[in-house]
Amino acid sequence: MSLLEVYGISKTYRRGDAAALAEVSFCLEERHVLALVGASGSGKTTMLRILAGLEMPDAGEVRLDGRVIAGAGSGVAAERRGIGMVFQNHALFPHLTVEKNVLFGVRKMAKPEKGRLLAELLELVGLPGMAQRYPHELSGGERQRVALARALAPGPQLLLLDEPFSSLDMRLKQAVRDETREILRARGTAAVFVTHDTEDSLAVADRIVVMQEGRVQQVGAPQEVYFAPANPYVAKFFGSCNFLPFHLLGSLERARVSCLVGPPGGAGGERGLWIRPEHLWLEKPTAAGGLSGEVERVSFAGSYQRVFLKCAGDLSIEVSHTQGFPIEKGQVWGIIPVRRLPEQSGST
Amino acid sequence: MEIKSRLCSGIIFKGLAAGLALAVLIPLGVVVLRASQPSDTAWAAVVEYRLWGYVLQTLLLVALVTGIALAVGVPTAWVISAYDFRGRALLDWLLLLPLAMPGFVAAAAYVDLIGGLAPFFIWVRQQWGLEAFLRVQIIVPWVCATGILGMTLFPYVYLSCRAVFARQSAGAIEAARLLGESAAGVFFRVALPMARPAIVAGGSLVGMETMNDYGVVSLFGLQPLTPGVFRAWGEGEVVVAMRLALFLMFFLSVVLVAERWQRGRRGYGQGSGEGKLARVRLGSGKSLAAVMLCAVPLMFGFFLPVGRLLRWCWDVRGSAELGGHAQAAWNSLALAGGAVCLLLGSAVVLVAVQRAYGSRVILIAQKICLLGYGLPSALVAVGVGALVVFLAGNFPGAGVLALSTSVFGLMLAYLVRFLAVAIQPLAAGCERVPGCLREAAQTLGSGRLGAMWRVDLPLVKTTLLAGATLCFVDVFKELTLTLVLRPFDFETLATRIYRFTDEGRIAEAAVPGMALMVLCLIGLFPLSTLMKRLEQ
Repeated sequence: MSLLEVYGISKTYRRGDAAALAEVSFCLEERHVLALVGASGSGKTTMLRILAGLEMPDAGEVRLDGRVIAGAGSGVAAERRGIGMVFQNHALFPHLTVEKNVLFGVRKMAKPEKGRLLAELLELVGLPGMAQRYPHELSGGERQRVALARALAPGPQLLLLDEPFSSLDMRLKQAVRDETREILRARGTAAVFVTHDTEDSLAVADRIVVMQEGRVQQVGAPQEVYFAPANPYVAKFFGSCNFLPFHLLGSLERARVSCLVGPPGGAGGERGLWIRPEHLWLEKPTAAGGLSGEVERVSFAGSYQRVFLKCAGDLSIEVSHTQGFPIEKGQVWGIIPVRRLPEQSGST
Repeated sequence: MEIKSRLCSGIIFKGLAAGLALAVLIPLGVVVLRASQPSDTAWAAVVEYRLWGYVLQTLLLVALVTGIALAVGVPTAWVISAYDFRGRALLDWLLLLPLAMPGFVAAAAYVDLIGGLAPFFIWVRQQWGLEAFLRVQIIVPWVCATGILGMTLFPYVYLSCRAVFARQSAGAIEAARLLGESAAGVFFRVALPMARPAIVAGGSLVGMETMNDYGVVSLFGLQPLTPGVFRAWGEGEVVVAMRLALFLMFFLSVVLVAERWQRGRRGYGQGSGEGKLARVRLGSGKSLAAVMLCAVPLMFGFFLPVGRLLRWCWDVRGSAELGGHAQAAWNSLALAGGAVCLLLGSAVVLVAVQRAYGSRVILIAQKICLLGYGLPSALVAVGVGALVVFLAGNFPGAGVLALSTSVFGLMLAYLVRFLAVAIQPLAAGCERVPGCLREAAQTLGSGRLGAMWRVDLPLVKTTLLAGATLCFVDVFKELTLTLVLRPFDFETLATRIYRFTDEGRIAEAAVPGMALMVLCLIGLFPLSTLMKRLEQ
């Protein structure tokens, strides 16, 4: 039995509006971290608020440790669920010190024990000696860590994080992200977090639930979601992706690309392949035909160059060029996939 | 398995809120009920001889007082916001002082002026004859009453315009200056049109206060609707009083609806509010003019009356009835203290508990309670008065407790009139507390009320306190309701001042008058801090 089981959750805010959530189901094992990923308006935050008990679903069921905590129109009140939450802008109580914030949810505990818990948590999040500060005296990263400590203090079975890193700047974000992952691992707390940042989800989560317009598009491990997207939406959501219709592929088919192949899709339901830019190489165009294109635009991205090529039939293809030789606008290059099935390479 | 429906929670508070809304509607209900009863010839007589005069005098009074308040309030606000000169900072603060001067206290300081004008009246009679003499005798009280009301009420206009000039239209005003517009052009072509909503808002407040005034107009013998209602009430013509009260309510609603309507059409009134207006430094000649512009209304609205009151206080220093004053002061304090507890408790239920439960029922109750502020004082007074008479007459036990029914009536009347004063600051304060804080408290195991108690209320502590002070001062200086509804032989400072002034014992009114004014001054501090906070 999983720690958290979500079955067929649906929610509509106003009659006549599109459903905020439609039949959402997933589950989460103990000690695992799950990411709810989607664009804004995908329903991921609504799902999180239903888990927290701040919203009620219209239909479906949420079980925590086998106990039903939310059903259609009713459920255990948020304050009795034993679920912790870290809010998007941290929601620290501005009138309370770090100590009082962290211990806000701790009840029925003797004073010395409370002191010990506080010291332990502040140590864990790397803020020892900050107990008497007020939230406005802390930096963004420190606030995020206090929010985490506060949510962990009552010892929740499950921790929810709503866009926990979105208010931090790029450089800080990566450090806090890794730290948070380590802290969750150290406490052994299962967590669900919501993000619109695919990089966050790939880096932190054990499982990813991709959502679009209230529906689950794919559930899987980060590698699965990235390398074997279930549909074009997921493929494009996790980074640039080229769609190559079969009728243009000719020699590409002979190259026997395998795990890069996504589901059929594209405009008008045409069948073809979904290939990420880093899985394509540029070569001298061969006389044998194959896919080739004229370079339209090159942009420098540090460790690689993004090359945009125009192919036959108005097809645009993006290639992440890491091979070092210079590419210039107007040149014509052949495009081939990098990864071939090892046991079949060289055959044909 | 603990599955709990959301619907059954907070039923007690919903009941309380519904009860409050009902309490606010009761006086209006009583008045409508009694007004619809058939009346004898009394109403016909009033319609024939007095009604037209009441209406005409009401309209004239409101027009004159509002006109004076606008003529004083708008230019002072502009000068203080747009220019820099010696004494500006001090004047900015001083211009709030007239708010601490209840009209009837200022009237006490001026009422003997009419006696002092006797030589002038005689001179007019000798110059122009009897006709002119009589006319001047009518005009002079009008000049005094409208002048006093205008000079003590103009800060409402000043405050609302000042916020707009200094903040909201700062960008547009500076742009006009850079485009080479003259000083007068900036004022008339940019600042004034942009401030129109604020001017109307301030002006309508002045109009409302004027319509509700009883002390000043009755001391100078004017006959608009409010004293008319009380005259009929005093003569025992209940139905007539109720019908006149409904007339008053009609005029008041017109003012309120007009204000609402123009606010709805605003759209351009709210500038981006970026930064403060840079003030232009004035030369010494213009500085003097600016200081005079601000100082003259201050003189008439505050310093002159205070000076006269102080002198009388000195004159009667040995012979003042301190015992009576102390008793009245104690009565005022007890009433105001009780009312504040009632008002704040109600406001917390209507605002903070409403937010905690997200209840629509309580929200509707809150909106209804806000309407109470738009009911005329006279209507509330006679409505509650009729209710008290009914209760005392129909419940034999209540007859013995005549005093307590009256106190109950007073509290009900204060609740109806001043609940909005308690609700508004609290609602504005709560609005600024992000909802996620409450949700955070909930996920940490606090119930709805627990979250309200531990998070919301501590965060709105200052606005709550400011609201309490405003309510306290409002009740403390309240005259109209108290005069009608107080128990027999029960005096507050306000009614004592009024009685002494009315009886011509003006010097004796000075001591309670000063005491009342000083207390109102204390009430100004939270008001100005509240304004600053809301402005930010």
